[in-house]
Amino acid sequence: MRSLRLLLIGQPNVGKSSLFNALVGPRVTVSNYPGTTVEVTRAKKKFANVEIEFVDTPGIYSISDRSEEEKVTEKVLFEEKRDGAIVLADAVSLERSLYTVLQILEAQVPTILALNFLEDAKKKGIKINCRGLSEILHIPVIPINPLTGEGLDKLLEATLRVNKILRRPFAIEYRHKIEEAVAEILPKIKKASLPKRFIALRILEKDKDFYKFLLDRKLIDGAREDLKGLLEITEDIPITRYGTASFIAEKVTRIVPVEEKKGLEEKVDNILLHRTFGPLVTGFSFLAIFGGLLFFGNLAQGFFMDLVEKLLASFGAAEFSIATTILIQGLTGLAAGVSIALPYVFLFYLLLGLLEDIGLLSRFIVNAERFLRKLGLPGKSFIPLVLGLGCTAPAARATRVLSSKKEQFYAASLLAFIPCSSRMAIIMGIAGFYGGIWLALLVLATLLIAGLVWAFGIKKLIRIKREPFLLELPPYRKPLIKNVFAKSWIRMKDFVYIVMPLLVAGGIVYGVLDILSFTDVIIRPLSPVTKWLGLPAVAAIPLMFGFLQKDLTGAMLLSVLGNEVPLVLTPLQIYTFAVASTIGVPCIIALGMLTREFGFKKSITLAASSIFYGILLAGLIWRIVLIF
Amino acid sequence: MKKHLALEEYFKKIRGRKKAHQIAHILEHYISGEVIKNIREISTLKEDGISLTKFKRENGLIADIVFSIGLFERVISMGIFPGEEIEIVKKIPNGVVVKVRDKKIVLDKNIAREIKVLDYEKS
Repeated sequence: MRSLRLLLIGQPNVGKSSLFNALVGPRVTVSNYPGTTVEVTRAKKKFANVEIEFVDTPGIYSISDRSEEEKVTEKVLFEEKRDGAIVLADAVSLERSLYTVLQILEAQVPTILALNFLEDAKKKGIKINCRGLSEILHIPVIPINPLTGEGLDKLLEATLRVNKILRRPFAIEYRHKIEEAVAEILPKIKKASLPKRFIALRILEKDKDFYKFLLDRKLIDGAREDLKGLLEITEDIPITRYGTASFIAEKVTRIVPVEEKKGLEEKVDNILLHRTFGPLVTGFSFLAIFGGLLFFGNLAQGFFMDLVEKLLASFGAAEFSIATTILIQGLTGLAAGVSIALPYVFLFYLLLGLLEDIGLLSRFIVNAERFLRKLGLPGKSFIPLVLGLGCTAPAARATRVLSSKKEQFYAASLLAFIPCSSRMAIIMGIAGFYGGIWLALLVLATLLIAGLVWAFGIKKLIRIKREPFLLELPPYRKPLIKNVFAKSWIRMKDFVYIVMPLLVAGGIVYGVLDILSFTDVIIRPLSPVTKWLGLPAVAAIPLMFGFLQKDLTGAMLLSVLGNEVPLVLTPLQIYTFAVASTIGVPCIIALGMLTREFGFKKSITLAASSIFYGILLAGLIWRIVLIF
Repeated sequence: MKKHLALEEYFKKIRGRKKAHQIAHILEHYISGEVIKNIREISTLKEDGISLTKFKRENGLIADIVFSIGLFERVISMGIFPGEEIEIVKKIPNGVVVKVRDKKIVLDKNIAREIKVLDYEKS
């Protein structure tokens, strides 16, 4: 069978993933492109006896070297085999989309232009002459609507004829000086799969990723020097490109002015972007989400734990052997993972995806940026930090959206103070259940203050270049549920495939160590720690083994204390226990993920120092309170 | 004829004198009067733009962008382009929310400072 591979390219918020889902249906394989968490989604579709593979790339404004998204899209575009690209354009701001189109055309990729949001444009009095656009660019232009399915068949038919699309249908001619510079660079460029003219332009635009195409290493260094004098032409290239895009857009657009009234969006934005109400709404939204999650999480937890108990009872737990213990511990680990983390993590990531697709998340990011910048972090670090409220492991990986390793590590270190679902279970299940809600809130406040002190300390230690903050606020839209599920699944994947099996493994290892009475061995060497914390010596077991399986920390504490927490521990001891077990890199899985991102040395240093910091702090507070 | 001259002025800057006439001739019949008006205004009033952070009115015309390289292309490709109308939607503590071509964009103060804007009456 004939097969084709087409890339889906477009600016952020042009409805690319909706088109992707509408084209291929639910059979989607998600692949994190090697090197980033920015996702590339692939799926195949049979149409007219041809197998078409669609590759959904992260949204980009242009092909340059600024963001992780652009790097990934560039990689897919230039390093993978592809037959062509579908560039999705937004009819409301055609010139902007055409900028991307013109750049893809410069790379001589056979391109089909799909035009989305024509209805929105119509409401604003904008009418676009698709045929005229096609005549100017000499590429197929197809109006589509992923929500109603309009135009999709035409788009598919056009993809079948992708081989017939001109490789160089429309080329911008730049001004003299630029064309001269291009001509000068052309012979110095290596033979590559990319058109030399495109490479030359990228080099003139000072895109460092393209310096490698220069023939001579010396030329690369030379280029950096030479280009300094070419500042003006460097800027003129994008200006001409955008100018051309807007000239073409003007040519094919007819605007009938429509009376614009201040709609709901403006009213909502007035509150969400308000100096005081904005951060308040942002904070309360997340509080409400967590309130709801704790409620549903508890329900789910009760349900799953009952199920496992019944299951274990049917095995006849009386029959004691290593095999049954392993089975029981494995199942308990699984139950803990499924019951605490799955509903909590999955629902949370689902809600987050919903907020994102409605358009609310970008407003929340604007509010969060005000505080994040005080910590020296860019606005986009909001997402990994918030993901940390679900599970630390995928959150650690999500720090890759930040642009420098230093920034990534700094953001990852803050995850030590952001309680993941398992740590939240300790705070709510132990501190909240036995000490009351105020004690739980006190623990949370301690985490917050400890985290802020840590952050300001780090900020003093390392110098971080301030990232410019530039963010588009998409219009509010009704979310496509299918999209939201696909997105949360991408974020969940690490959790299901990596964290869950390790939770089971952690449970089993703990079970085996318990049978072998290995757990007692650590009580003595750790007695200085428990003494410092003012805790009974046996508390070393949940503190230490919690690192294997954080979800079991609570259960371990109950088992070593004989289910009588309030009789054995004072509220103050419950507090120190909760603080000591929640500050720091939470578990071996998170440590593993950090190691993969930052190497063993850095991760172990972070884990050791953050855990030490937590224990030091908890013990200090214990001492200070005792004085009074 | 007026149209033609304004375009020629503009393209002299962008593409050099030789081709300016020819290009202006090709493009003039499909460019709206508004764009030409805008282009003329930028080519004559470029120096008089006020930084977006200091701009007090609700509507303006982007006159110039003075920028570091990488961000320059990002800003341009988001539609923040000399000659475009810009609406200041809201000043927020960490920057300014603007609307260009119906798209809402948040810019921090450092970026906003480098975008020069002219007074402009929306017609």
